Amino acid sequence: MNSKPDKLIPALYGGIIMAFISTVPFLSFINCLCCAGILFGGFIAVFFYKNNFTPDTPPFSAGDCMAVGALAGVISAVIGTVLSMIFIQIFGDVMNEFLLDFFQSMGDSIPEEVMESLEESLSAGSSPFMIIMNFFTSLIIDSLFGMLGGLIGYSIFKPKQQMMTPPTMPLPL
Amino acid sequence: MSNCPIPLASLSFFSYLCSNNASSMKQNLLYIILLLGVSLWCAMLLLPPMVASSGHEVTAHQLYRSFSPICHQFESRSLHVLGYKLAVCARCSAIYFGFFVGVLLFWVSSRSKKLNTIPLLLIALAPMLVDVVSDAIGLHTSNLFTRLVTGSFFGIISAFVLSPLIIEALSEIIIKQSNNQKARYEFKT
Repeated sequence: MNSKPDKLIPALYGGIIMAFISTVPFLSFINCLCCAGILFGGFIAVFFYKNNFTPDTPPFSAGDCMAVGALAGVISAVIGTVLSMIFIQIFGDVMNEFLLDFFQSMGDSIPEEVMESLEESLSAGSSPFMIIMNFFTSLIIDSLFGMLGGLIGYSIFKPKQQMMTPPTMPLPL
Repeated sequence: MSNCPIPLASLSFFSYLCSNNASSMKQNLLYIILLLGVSLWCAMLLLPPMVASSGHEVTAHQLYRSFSPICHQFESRSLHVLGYKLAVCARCSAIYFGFFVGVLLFWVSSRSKKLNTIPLLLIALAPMLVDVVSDAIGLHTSNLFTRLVTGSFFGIISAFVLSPLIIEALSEIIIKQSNNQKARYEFKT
């Protein structure tokens, strides 16, 4: 029987999609729905992973899908950090500026905390410390939710009839 | 044969966990690992207000910022501890603490059958979506009670759906570790 296919390429696809959703202004609103964008990235990584399986390869398992999702999260953290730096350098903080202008045009009906939050985000800028901190935060969050997305993908795509692996016999003491 | 008892003891322990006789012990151990992980996440949500109340405002501010990618953190929509808001809003807090409760309930209920993922998650998501969308379009005003109830409901159902999958994945990792350790032990001897 052949060995299982490599996890890196499917994780790369999932990570790129995850990073794109998390970084592109306005598209990142999807993550307001319980990090749906990140979960989707883990899910899609498993979709690409299962497509690499043939009848000759052993079936994929929950552990494989969890690993693919987590790896997609790590890749997303790296790509997302680079992408967000590029976006801010080229376009500026488009989304927060748009939201600030939008809320300011609505007058005094917007809570003060919303305005303070947006102004703080704009003033934080892109200092090296903030970039590093955002990277490590993304690393943890994207890996965690990527793993969960991978497990959701496993529950949907798992083979209907899996070969039962024989139980491991304990060594005599 | 190696004189160090630690590899032999750990190999025996892992093999025992993989044997049929240790099935319930292994399941309990895996649930404890899952519960510890979820507890750690919930504890992280309580960390920023505790740090802020102890006077370390700058550190607390950095901790709050680390959770900003996953939540709006509005003061008026957050639960408060020691006079400071939690790391995430009330709805998100309800989801995460609900997940913790769900893992506990799942362990106690001893369910081994996996549940249908997508339909259950959609059912769990529905009340929350209705609450958010109807608030956005002005049909109904979302308040603390609706956010806590809908968030907790989603968290608990998600735990029932995801817990068996996480346990299955952790179980495979333990079996792989045991097989790798066995292979290394056989190679050394």
